Amino acid sequence: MSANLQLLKPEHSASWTEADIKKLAATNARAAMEAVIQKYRDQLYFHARYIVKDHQEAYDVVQEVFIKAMREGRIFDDEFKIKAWLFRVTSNLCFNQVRNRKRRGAILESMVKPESFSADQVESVFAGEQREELSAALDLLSDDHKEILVLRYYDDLSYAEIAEVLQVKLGTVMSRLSRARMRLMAVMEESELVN
Amino acid sequence: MDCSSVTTRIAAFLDGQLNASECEQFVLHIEACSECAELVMKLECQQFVPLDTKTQEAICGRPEFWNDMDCVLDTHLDQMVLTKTACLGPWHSRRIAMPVPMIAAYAAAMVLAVAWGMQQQDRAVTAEVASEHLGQQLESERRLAAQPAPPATSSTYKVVTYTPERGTF
Repeated sequence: MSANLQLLKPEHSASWTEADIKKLAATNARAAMEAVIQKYRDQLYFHARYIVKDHQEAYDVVQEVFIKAMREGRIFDDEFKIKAWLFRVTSNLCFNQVRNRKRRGAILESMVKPESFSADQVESVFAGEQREELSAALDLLSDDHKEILVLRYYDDLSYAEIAEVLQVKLGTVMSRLSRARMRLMAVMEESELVN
Repeated sequence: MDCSSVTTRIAAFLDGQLNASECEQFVLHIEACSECAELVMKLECQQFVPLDTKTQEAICGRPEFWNDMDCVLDTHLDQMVLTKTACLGPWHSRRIAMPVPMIAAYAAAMVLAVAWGMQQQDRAVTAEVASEHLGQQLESERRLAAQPAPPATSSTYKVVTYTPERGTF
């Protein structure tokens, strides 16, 4: 695929708008889908990575999201919000992944395994006292709160984009984000007291 | 603005997402309310540490990083293109992912099936009524048959014995 994907250089497709991609889809669906993949895969990988906290799982989730996108018949429709849909599906798959892992009793195993960090160059980048502390606190939040905090402060999505991803009103984004930050503060204070 | 409104807008205030008038009201409130002011100060200290763009590029920008995914997605892309070219015609509906004549044919088949079903239902009702009527008739016949026959009277029944005479045929 790498040879085929060179049809559209990443630096070009990244600057494309969704409207450009939809126009391209009218004549070349494959090239349009490649543009979608190149434009969003980095963002989706980091979004998934912040939620599942495992390189391989995040990678697999992103792959599955794009396969779903290829099967989504309306993806190039005029009113379809590609970015919002991709983030929404990624979040859902990530939370399913986390729930499955919890069910298997291997909760956050990859985080506490030092060998998994040293084995992969990617993992070491995510390590760091402050990051780990905040990351651990994020895991104690509800899915809704964790998702909105990741979307805003890690993926750097605007409030309007978050509203599209979560399919809620702008006011709901504001209030949910505020509640999430207050809850995060409470969780961190509790953990400090325990420590 | 009251304390409840402040707590629902606190993140938007810290992110600079409130409009001018809301921001002014927010500031007015936290100047007067020490509890809300303390909350704002605490949340201001909250530091999220996302990866910077350079680090992200260092991870995902490596050419080999996406190779595995590219190989998998390539086959799916081929399938997607084949499916699209197979089904995308001038009469193709994207929403239902089916050609319009096929949708019309399905709709017509549905209408015919419903009409046929209704007709069959009517017939079944008629047959049921007829069988019920026949049943009643049969029942009355049975009742009549079960009643004892009236005694034969000479006036009613006459035994006739016919003996042909010799040479008749």
